[in-house]
Amino acid sequence: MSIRKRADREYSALLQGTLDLLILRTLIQGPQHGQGIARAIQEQSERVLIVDHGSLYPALQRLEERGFIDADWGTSENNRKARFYTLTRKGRAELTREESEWRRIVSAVGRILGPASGKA
Amino acid sequence: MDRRRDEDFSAEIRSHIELETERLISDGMAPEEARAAAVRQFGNVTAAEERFYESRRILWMDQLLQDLRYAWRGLRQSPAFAIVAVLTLALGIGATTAIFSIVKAVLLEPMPYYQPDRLVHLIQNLPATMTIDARPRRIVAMDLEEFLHLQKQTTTLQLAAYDDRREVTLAGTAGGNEPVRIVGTPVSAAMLQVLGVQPLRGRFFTSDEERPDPEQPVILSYAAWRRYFAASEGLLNQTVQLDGRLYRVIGIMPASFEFPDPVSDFWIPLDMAHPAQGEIRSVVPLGRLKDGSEVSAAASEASAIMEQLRGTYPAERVLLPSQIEVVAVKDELVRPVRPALLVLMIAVAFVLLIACSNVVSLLLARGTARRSERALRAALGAGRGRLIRQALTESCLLGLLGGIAGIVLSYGGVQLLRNLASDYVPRLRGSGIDIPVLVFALAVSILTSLLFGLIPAVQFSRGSHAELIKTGGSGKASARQRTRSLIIVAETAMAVVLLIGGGLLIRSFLKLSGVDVGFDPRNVLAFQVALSQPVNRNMLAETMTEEFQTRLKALPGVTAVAFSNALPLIPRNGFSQPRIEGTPIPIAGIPEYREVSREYFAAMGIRLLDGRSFNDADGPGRPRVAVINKTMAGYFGNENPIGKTIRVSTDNEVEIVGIVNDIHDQALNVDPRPQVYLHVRQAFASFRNAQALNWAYFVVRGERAAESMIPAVRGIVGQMIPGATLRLNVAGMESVVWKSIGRPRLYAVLLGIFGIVAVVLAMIGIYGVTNYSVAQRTREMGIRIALGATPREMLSLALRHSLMLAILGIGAGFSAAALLTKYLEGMLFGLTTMDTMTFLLAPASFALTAVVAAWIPARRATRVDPLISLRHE
Repeated sequence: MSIRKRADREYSALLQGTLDLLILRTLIQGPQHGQGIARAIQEQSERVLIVDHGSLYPALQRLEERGFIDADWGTSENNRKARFYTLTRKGRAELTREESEWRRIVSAVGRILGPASGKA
Repeated sequence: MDRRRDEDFSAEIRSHIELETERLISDGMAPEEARAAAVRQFGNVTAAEERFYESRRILWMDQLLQDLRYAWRGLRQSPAFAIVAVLTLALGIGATTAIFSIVKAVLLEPMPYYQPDRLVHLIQNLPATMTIDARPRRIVAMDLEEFLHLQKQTTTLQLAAYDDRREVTLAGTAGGNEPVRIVGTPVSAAMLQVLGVQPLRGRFFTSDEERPDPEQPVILSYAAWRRYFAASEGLLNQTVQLDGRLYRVIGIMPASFEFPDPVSDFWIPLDMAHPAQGEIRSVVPLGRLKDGSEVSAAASEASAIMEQLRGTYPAERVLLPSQIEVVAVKDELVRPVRPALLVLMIAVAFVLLIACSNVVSLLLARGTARRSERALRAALGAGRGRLIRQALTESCLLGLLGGIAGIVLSYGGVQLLRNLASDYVPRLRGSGIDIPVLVFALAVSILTSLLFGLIPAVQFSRGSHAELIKTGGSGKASARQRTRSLIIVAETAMAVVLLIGGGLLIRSFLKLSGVDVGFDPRNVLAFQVALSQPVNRNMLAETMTEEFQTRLKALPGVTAVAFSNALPLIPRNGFSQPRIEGTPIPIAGIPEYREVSREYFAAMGIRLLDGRSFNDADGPGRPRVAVINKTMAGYFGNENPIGKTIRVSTDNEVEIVGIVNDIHDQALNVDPRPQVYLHVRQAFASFRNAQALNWAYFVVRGERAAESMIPAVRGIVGQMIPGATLRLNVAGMESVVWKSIGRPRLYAVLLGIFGIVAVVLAMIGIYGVTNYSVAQRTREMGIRIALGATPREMLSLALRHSLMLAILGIGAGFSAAALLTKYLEGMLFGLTTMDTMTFLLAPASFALTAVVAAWIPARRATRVDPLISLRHE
């Protein structure tokens, strides 16, 4: 799984599990379908992150199989059939764990990099 | 959780794209544009579906089936390749499986006793300095008195004893059966305890029964109980007649009980009474290591006891060194064949490796031809791992097909081996294709598949696809060519090693069969007579001396009739001989003593060298005379032995009257030993008891093939002695001689076959590599011819590479053989392991075949049409 950066660089492989974390985080706001999840990630990241749909669905599938999310067919706001994903209790626990882990890593990396040096 | 179906997932993707489209429209995009953008943004729908698909299947299984189907189609597309590869592998795997089945039965299977590893023989090693033929000997028998002493003293061993097996006539049985000859073994009462086996019915002997008794007990084998007594429960405590004596059946052994060998059908008590003064009897000890004691402790204890006992003997009696070697029973049994079996196992492994090399070579050539196909697959997204896996699937399929064909071949091979070898190799009966052997064959197939599959698979997955497509695949050709070259050198080397090994054994066998046996075995029938009734001694003497021989001689075409207490090359059981003294031979117990009838030398075709043979005047009451052989005469140095006197059984004087030619008595590869022949009518030992007829070996020389005389001889025996039959081992002397060299013949045949197979395979390899390189260089050759190269130059160009490889291989094989043939030592007769002739001839003949194998495809190089070849690519 990889998340494509908006910048014109090529693929940059992100930390394993990042997409899973983002999906779970998105679902905390309520049930959502795939397209909604993808869009939410894009918008909330201010279009820095674009979800590769080829990765999204296998990730959803994986999360479903591991019992972090449930899925069922339902109807969207504008009456379209869509498969909605819901966060399970297990998923919620996983999210908490993953999120704190992620924050720990980010702050650790931040400490190493130091304050922004103006020009990247 | 239920597995999602593919359709469900596709529906989800569709809904995603629709949702996205609506969203874009609501952002103000035109519907058409919005849809295109949504699709574009989603990316590769098929890839997403594929990834979903892969995530929910046991993918490798799926791919395996796919690869198998693909491989199968591939093989069917090139049947010639498939057939050659499968047959080559079948040959290698089949031969390996067959030999493994033999090795397993002979060397690996445990013997059918309780804790068989703890059963031991006590061996006395007689050094070469103490034997007349200067060959060390291993003596497994022991003097009975010494055995009894050892049995009493030892703390490390539980000891029992048995004697050589004997053949007796089982008188007509309840079912009205004919008298039959059966073989049995006298054993001491402790034997069952030592072996750890219980009788199936009844009981075993007690130590009270270890002495001669009017009505001795007998224990029957399960097979004999079934075959001769229809497994009757009422047989226990009934009596049966063996050689005319009554025995009471006290027990039946279970079917698995085979002691000391599978042919023993009955057991009688071994007389364990202390031998009378001056009498010497020997028995074969069998021991079980007591709990906690090991071989080395048992050996040193037994040696110490023996040392101490023999210290009390008068000096002239010490014959054997006191050192006792303790050896597991099975190791001793297979000792004569173990080195040969290991050599065969190595040889067959070579054949298998050569077969693999050939298949690798074939796969490399075929892989080159299919490079564009592979490049296409790679371009379509097959990963390197996937390509390797695909190639390995193909080779495993080949390997399994070869393995199955090989197993079929090995069935035949094992049958053939058992027919060829059963008389010469112990424990062969248990060989066959059973589950462990099948597992072995399959394991070998898969291992070899990986071996021959991995090289081409890795070779071909290297390099970028772009390069492959651009250059048409010739990019990495040089690396592949190098691999192929190495393979050819390796297989040539192995083939040369096998050829030299086989050559040594064949030459050795030819030398052996060229040995002058010293007698003329043609048209000589040898047989023994089996009696079912006790025979009156006088009648016996009469029958044997005169009338029987006269009537045999009256048969049409019979020219001479005689008998002896022993015949050359026929193993004897329980043979004893009187002491011969007053000869110049320094070692006691030698020379060998033979009692023969008057015409023996004529009947056997043994030439008289000096003096006279026996005649009618040499009868009872006349001065005793002896004929000696050439070897014995040699001990008299410059003196003429004729007229000299020797003593037999201490004080009977016998005058030497003649010298006859040496015969190979023990075996063709054992030098003749000194022998003394006495006329049977002046005899001392053998024929003086009622069992005599069971000891005597008759020979009839005729004008026709020996076997054609059997019916007539059988008729006379039946008329003369009611109830008597010819013994089973009736045979022409020619076949006796032939059989005596069975083991070396077997080795020569097997290694010869392996050598030939190896050479044929190596030739195919050389042919293939030459053929391939000629095909590869057609364009270059076309240019050369266009530029004026002569056919001769073209031929040498095409041959150069292959022949260089062959020469390298021959050199490597020659050197390897020089290191390896030392393991054939002990299997060779009359030549050393570095026999110059073999080491020259084998590589030379291989070189010749290599030239032929390379020349056939190389000729094509001279016929290349420049125009066509330039258009080739």
